[in-house]
Amino acid sequence: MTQPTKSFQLPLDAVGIGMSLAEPLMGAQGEVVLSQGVELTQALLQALRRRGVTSLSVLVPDEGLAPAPAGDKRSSAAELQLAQLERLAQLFRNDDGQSGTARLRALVTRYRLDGSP
Amino acid sequence: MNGVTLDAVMGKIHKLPSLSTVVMDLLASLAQEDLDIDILAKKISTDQVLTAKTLKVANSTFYGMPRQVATVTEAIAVLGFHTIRNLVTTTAMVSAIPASSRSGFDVLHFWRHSIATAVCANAIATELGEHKSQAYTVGLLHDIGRLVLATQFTAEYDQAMDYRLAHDCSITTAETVSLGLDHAAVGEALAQHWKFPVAMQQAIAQHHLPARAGPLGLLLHLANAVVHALDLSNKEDDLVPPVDMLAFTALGLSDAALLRVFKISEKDLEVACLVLST
Repeated sequence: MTQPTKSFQLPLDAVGIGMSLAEPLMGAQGEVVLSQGVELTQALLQALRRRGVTSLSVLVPDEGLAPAPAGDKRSSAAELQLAQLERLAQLFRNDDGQSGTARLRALVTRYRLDGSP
Repeated sequence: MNGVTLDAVMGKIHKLPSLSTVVMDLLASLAQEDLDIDILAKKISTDQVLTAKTLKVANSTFYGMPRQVATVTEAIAVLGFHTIRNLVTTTAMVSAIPASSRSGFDVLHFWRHSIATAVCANAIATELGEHKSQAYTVGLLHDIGRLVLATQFTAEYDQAMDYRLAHDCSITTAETVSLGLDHAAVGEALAQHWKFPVAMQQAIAQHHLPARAGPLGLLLHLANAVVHALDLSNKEDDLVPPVDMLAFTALGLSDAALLRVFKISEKDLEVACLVLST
């Protein structure tokens, strides 16, 4: 059975180790740099940063998203994080591409993902 | 377009109820170096309504008072002058401009956003170790021009907000398109009329124009955006305005400092909003 997952376009700073790519990452010439599903490691993220990549479409770790018995703390925490990421996407819906806006978005995303509610 | 001119705004501003001398003194004190706290405490005490409201909030359990206080001087001794001055200013400002019941403008949302920005600006100032006396109040009053427009030009402002809703654009864009001026310009006019310290007038005028802003204006630009991004205004259709990188580089806050600012803003907001329910 496939686990339920959700993909998010996240600023690179907010991408956590262990998340996987939701879509293949394409280079400037249309070549595949990384294929879909690749798990992101610290080394990979550093390499991407050096290449000037600023955001990635990733799948949020899915173990907590699987249907779980009611009251499973990890599951509800993951659901809350998902809801928060969706809300962030809505709040930043008019993202103008300014670097200041991107920095704020990356920081608040990190805050939401790290923060234990 | 149903325009509003700055002259018309000035006319309305001059007809607003004047601020009490206590509040004028408090605002002026924000730029004073040598402050006599005792004299200011006595002045606050002469305004009985203001004092009663302030003490009611200060005595609520959220402030963690070790004991109940009965006077302004006592409240200052326990919570500190900075906190009490912010509390008195918020209490006074929330009732300074009578709300219009005909308007579609949500005054409670407005003050919640304003108080959140005050709390966040104060947290940023604490991290910087600068602008501590002015950051809270300038955050509290940064959008005061919106309240002037909504209460004094109700029909025109309702139209501007309809435009915002229809185009899902920023408030500033909607105001500029439908009124011909924006809330920052109106806020600046009111801040001048109320004789705010000059740095605060400029910060209010420039909080959406970071390229022209000084340090306090940049601090405000960032605090306002953070409050939108943290979703602190409780507004379903909230929208983060564009953020200029200058606000980060000029203020020089580290990521760790900003994450602390987020946390403190969220933590302190509910207590600061108690003023709205008294």
